[in-house]
Amino acid sequence: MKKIISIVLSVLFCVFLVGCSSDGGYVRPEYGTVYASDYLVEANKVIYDDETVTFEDGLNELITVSRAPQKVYVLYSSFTPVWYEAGGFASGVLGGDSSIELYVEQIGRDITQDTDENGNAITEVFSTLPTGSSWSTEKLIAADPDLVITSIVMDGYASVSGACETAGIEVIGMDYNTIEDYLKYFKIFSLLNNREELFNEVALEVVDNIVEIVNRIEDADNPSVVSLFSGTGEPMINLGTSSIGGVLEDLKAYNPAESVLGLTGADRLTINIEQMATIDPDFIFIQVHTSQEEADQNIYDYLSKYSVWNTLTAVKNNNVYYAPSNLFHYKANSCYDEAYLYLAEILYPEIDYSDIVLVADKESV
Amino acid sequence: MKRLENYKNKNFIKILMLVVMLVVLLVAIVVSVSLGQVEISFLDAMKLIFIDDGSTERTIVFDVRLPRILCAVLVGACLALAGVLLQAVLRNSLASPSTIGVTSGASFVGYIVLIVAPAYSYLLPIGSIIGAFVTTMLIYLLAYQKGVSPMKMILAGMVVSTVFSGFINIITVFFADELGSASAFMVGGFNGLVWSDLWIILPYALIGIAICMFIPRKLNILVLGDETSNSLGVKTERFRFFLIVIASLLAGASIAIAGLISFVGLIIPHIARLIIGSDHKFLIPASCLLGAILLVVCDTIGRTFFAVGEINASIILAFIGAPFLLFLLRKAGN
Repeated sequence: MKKIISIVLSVLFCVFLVGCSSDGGYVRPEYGTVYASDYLVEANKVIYDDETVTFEDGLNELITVSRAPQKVYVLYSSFTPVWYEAGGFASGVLGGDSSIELYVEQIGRDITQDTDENGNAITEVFSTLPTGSSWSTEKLIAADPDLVITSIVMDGYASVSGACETAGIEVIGMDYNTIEDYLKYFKIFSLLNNREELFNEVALEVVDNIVEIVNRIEDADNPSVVSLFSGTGEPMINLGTSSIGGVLEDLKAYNPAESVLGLTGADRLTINIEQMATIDPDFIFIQVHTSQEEADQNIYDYLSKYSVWNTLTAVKNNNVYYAPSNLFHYKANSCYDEAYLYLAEILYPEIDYSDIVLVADKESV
Repeated sequence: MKRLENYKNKNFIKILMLVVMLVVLLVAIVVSVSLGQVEISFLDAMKLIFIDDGSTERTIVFDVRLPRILCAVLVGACLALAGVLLQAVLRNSLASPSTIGVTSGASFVGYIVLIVAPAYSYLLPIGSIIGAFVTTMLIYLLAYQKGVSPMKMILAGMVVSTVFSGFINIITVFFADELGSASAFMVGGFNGLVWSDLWIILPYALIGIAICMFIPRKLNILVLGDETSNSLGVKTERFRFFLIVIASLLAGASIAIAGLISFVGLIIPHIARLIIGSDHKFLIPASCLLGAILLVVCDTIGRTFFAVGEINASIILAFIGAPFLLFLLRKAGN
């Protein structure tokens, strides 16, 4: 019996490993012409009437939220800029150095310092901790917001949804990683704020630019590109499901990590110098987590200190770039077209993009 | 005659101790209801438990604080009981749901539910209970050889725990982002628990606790060793299996709503033994009450006294529980 159990456990382990692997090879997608509607599939699923907006939340559950909420708490820093872009105002947000840095970078000011005409603070810092399990649920109930916007990751939604539901407070649990998610939530937020015109003025303009950028790229002979996430631990390689990985895929770049590592499910995976040598990409983009100095040190500690690093095609051809944190570490939001353009101009210098006017550069934004 | 009287006196003192523990628990609950980051006076809090005036304060007291406190009571009682049962079954004072691998099995299935089907997170309790049960059965079968020796069971538990830890590590490599939503599960606590969570654990907890109240005599015999207990009419193997099932039910239900709180099952039975002795007739209710008190106190401290936010009960537990156990052990040694 014990032997059988031991064998079963071993087999289970193998099955588990295989289950985490892909079915073998990476198949390059058929690209063809891209249309704006391709990016708007999720946004077009949003249903609304004069009173409510109905959509699938981050947990794929259909929820209905009342329009024109008066008091809104946005409890996930990366989502706050989209809410503001879509004409919203937050009475409560998360604080802390990194959140404030993000607000300044993406909204243009530290919104926690916003005041009314009498100089009174109008945006409360609900918590400086990003993890939902550390938030005081009763403090949130006491604040009595009409709507709470939070993330389904970092325990945000899991921590507040039950109590908010009991207290009659509406909660949106978001999951936002791609341009499609941006368009979907921009539409939802602009509808909630009764500012539908912003969706046309900003989001659709962004997607039009992206379509223009992508459609100028030929389908054949595209470069192999990897992006490395350089955080505090070992560098990780971004796969197609990550934010920057998705943009690179849209730009018809080939990510050799998909076939060499042959793994699915994860957004990013730890990589070592041997795997980098096997992958040997034409371009390397380094996604900076904190500072460029730390990213450099991190890459040196694990990859570039080996002489093999200098033999990589990307390194030999000076094709190692930093991916700006405002475009690729934070959510790009209305700068998504800039993110696409930034990468496209590096990957395809022969293509002329000089006529593309970024949404952020237009007067209306 | 004098010995009988002495015995009766000792029992009376123990019953008195249990009554004191019960009173302490009730006081802890009542005080805990009135404490939190939102200031509500003690009298108002008491009033709001029973009177629904539709105010936000009522929601905070009745719908936020009370269910999480009661969850802490049940989880504390369940984990402490699971520890008592496993320590008796394995005749090993280091046994607890976490040390024999039950926790890792339950959490593995919990992770699978969270990652594969995050939309079905309501299946988490069932998944954790199944995980705890299957893991316990696995350990039991691995350790079985014409009966189960406690030593083999501990070793089998370590093996199974290691295997499941391997599975969990693979999950953390492949699904790091998805696991972002599981940090509350990994660092146990009671934040966000509402009445519906209490209803999830209540039936399992009540069944488990009720069963435990009827088995102290058999447990006392079991800890004397297999030969003695067999000769005294206890079907050792069958009873041990039964206890393991109950322990996994209690541990699985607790993990399902509160996540991984691993210290209670280990230290509470020790503390209870130091206070009230090893007779399971008193040890079981004492462990229940002490486990409940400890988690209510830890949760109250964690959610009240830190301006920055909440500190999970399991973290507070590590700071309070460990030194307290050491203090008791030193005192007992002296």
